[in-house]
Amino acid sequence: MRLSHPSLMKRTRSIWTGLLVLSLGLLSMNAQAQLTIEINESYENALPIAIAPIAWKGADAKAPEDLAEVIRQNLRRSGKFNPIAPARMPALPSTVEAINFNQWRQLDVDNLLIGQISDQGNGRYQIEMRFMDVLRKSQVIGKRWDNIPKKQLRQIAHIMSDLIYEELTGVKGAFNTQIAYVTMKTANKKRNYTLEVADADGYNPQPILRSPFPIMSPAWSPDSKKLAYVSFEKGRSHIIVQSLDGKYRETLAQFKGINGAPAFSPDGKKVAMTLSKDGSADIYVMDLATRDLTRMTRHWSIETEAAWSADSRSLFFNSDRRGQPQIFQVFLDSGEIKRITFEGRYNGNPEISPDGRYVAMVHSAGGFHIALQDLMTGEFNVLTSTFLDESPTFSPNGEMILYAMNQGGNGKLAVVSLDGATSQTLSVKDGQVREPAWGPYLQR
Amino acid sequence: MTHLKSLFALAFVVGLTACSSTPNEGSGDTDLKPLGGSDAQAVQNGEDLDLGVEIIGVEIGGSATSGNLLTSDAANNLEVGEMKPVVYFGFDESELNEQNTPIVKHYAEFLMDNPDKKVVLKGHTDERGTPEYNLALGERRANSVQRVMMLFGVDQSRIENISFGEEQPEAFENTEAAWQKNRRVEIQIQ
Repeated sequence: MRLSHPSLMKRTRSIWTGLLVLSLGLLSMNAQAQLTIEINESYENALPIAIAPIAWKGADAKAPEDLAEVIRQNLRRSGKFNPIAPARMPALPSTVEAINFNQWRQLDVDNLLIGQISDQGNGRYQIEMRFMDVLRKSQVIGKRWDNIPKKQLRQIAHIMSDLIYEELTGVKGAFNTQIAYVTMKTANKKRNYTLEVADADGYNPQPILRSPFPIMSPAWSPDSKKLAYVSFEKGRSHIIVQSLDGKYRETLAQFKGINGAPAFSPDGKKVAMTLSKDGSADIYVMDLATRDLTRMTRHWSIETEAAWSADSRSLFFNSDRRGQPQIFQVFLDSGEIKRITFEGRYNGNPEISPDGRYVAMVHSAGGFHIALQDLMTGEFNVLTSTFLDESPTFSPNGEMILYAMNQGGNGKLAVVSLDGATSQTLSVKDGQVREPAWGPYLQR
Repeated sequence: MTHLKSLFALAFVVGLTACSSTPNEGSGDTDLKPLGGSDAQAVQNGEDLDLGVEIIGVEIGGSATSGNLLTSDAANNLEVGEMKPVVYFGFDESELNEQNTPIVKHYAEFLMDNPDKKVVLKGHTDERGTPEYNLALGERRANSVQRVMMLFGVDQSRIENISFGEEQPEAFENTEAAWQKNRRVEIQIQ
């Protein structure tokens, strides 16, 4: 198997009035793909934090990656932190001995990250971080990574971001995760679809599947090693499972009628799906080991978009059995069905938060927006106000929802926090991007 | 993963002391020595650090064997007797009405007169609403046309339904006029 180093072709950065725009690194394999992130709104009381430049110890003029800037961007995107610009820093310490804590206290900075990156030869690097509590003048986190190849340096910065985020918020960070999505580009009146996987910050986009036929509904396996999706490559909708390393690709469902909406069970052993082989679209569960199908719904109306409950004991799904799409819940053991949503005339594509408490959905009482219902209290909130919002997907820590929307005729992705207070937009140049799926925590 | 494990077997994470005592100001923290391998809690083996698999993509060739799927092929559909082989629907609707039932009847009669011909009914929706619901809705529209064709005598074995959901719009604008053109079933005589 090939192990190539992706060449980062171009990286530019410019700051508009209040907007932060990042042009992302490109892969040689995928030269036209480019995700751009714009931060639209942040919390007003974002916490000031100092991420000092990670000092470079090597022969080259500068470090192969600006790790500190990656961390700053991550923390800024969370909406909860306001990393101060390096130009405003009173000093640029890289060792604990060099820190003058009083200088940082005067900036209202409670926390400071310092670190070093050293060239170990053979394209390997050592990274060291020390996260300091400025008030207590003490070290909170100290870590070192050895023998890290260049192409994994950004990932180390994401891991560092996760450590800082968890230390300060008590919530596990979701920076070291990946997102999958579908891009569509038109050339010579032909449409080209690509299923891509990128880092959660939009960098490092890599094509999983390129096809002239539509690709829909990517869904991650819980071990983050595989994707299930719908492909029209054989003329109609089929469900395919493919491993990210390209070693495994198999058609899971190609029954008569539609084959859609795959969703892995939390233990990864089953896939819920929509099939119309027995008449109209209904929900089935396939056991991956035996390929046995269990039919979960039996109704003449449309039943689709199954989402597993956190405890795996039930499925939430979209049904128009009452005339228009609403969300229902079916219990796997009893087959009992319960209606979940009552607000508005259209509620579809349920997604369950990782803790099982919330259901996100596509909601319409006019336009189409992402709404959130608290399954414990019944509280219902519309989170977004963009155009044609669809395909909500939770970050694995449950703090953010990534979704697809339309801006000026272009399909884009956007991120919104569960309280609606912070949002970002991700777009791809010269194309449409849709059908996002936020991957699980990488196992580590 | 096997080769990656060997590749990253050398990479490991060493925790540095998390100091709880307050150091002398400006003098650094004397406890900040790297830990030795004896502290099991602070030393992580690199194999536990999932640096991800190398992603290898798959490419599907463009030689479509099952009809031209690259763009909507409505313009190539056989038109019989100056009646366009397409029927349109209202938002989230799938029943035929007084306007479009005659079109279906017309093509059903053509099929009855031409027993060697078959028909593919391609169901489509506009972009509003969720893509998977629309995939089911496109099928429901095709089923609806199929039912009417069968009422006019066409045998079910001569009718194939395919839903494309919202994936193959005829018009690309985000306007009601465009959406109207996209909520359709194309009648493709073969």
